[in-house]
Amino acid sequence: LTALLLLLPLALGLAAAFGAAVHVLRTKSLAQSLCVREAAATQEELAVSLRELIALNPTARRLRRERERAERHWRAALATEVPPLIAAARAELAAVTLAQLRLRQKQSGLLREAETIRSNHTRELAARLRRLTVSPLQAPMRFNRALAVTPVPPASLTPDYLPAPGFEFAQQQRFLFRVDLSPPWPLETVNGADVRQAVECSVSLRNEGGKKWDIDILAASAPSKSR
Amino acid sequence: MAPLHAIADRRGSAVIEAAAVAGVLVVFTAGVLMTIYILFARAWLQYQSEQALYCLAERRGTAACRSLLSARARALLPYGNLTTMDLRAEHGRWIAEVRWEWQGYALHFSKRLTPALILRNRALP
Repeated sequence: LTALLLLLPLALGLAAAFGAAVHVLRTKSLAQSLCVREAAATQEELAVSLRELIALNPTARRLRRERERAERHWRAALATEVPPLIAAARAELAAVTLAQLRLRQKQSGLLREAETIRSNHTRELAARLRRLTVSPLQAPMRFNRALAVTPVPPASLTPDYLPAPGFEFAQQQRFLFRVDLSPPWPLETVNGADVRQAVECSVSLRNEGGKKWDIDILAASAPSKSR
Repeated sequence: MAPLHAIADRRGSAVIEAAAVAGVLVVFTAGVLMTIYILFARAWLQYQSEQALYCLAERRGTAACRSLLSARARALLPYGNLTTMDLRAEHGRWIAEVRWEWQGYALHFSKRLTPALILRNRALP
C-alpha cells in the first residue's frame, strides 16, 4: 500500500497532464466551431440580401432606359417651345425619377441591411467567445461594402449591382481572435508556456449557377502551433 | 527477539514479497499509463478527425487532408497505427472514417460535416 501511495504523485501528475491536454483540445474545437458557425450564418443571411439586390437589376435597367427616353422627350419638348408638350415631358421625367428614387431606396436598404447583418454577427460571436478570448475579436473586411457588389453604371441613380471581380475573396466574412488555452489550474505558471492560440476562420459565398449562392468555407482548420 | 537462524530463514520470503510488490507496481503503472495513452489517443484522434473535416471543407483536396491527418496523428501517438483513414467529400458533405489500433485496442471514429450542420451549430457530432 505504501508503495502504491508513492505512485500517487505520478498518477496525479499524469491525470493533470491528460486533463490539460483534453481541455486544450476542447477549447480549440469549441472556439473553431463557434467561429465557423457565425461566419457561415453571416453569409447565409447575406446571400438572401444579395439575391434580392441582384433581383432588382432588371427593374433598374428598365428604369434607366425609361429615364433616357424621358430625357430625350424633355429635350425635344424644350426645343419645340410648346408649353403642353414641355409640361407632359416634365411629368414623364418626374414620374420616372420618382420610380428610380423608390428603387434606389430599396437597393440602399438592402446594402444597409447587409452591413447590419455583418455587425450583428460580429457582436454575437464576441459575446459567445467572451469566456475564451484573450484578444479582441477582429472582423477585417475585404471590400468597402458589406456585399461585394459594384454598381454598373456607377453614376446612375439606379445602377445594376453586379458581383465584384474576385467576388469570393471580397465577400468573405473573416474572424480573427486568440483563445486562452490555459487549464483551470495553474499549469501555465509551471511550464511558462504560451497558452494563447490564434483562431481564424473565413467563409464566403459561391455562385452555383443561376440565383443559387452557396456557403464556401475558405479557412476553418486551426493552426497546429501558437502564433 | 527471533534467533539468528530464524531471520536467515525468512530472508527468502522478503525477496519474494518485494518481487510481488514490484510486479504489482509494474502492472499498476503500466495499466495507468496505457489507460491514459488510450484516453489521450481518443481525444487527439477525435480532434484531428474534426480538423480533417474542416480541411475537406476548405477544398484542399483529399490527399492533402489525409496526409495532414496522418502526420498530426502520428506526431503525438508514436505507438499504434491508423488502419483506416477514409476522407471524402460528396454532394456538399464531408465524411471522415478513422480507425486506430494498438495492442489489441481499436478506436473508430465516423464523422460528417455539412453546411447545414455548421449552421445549426451541431457540427461534428
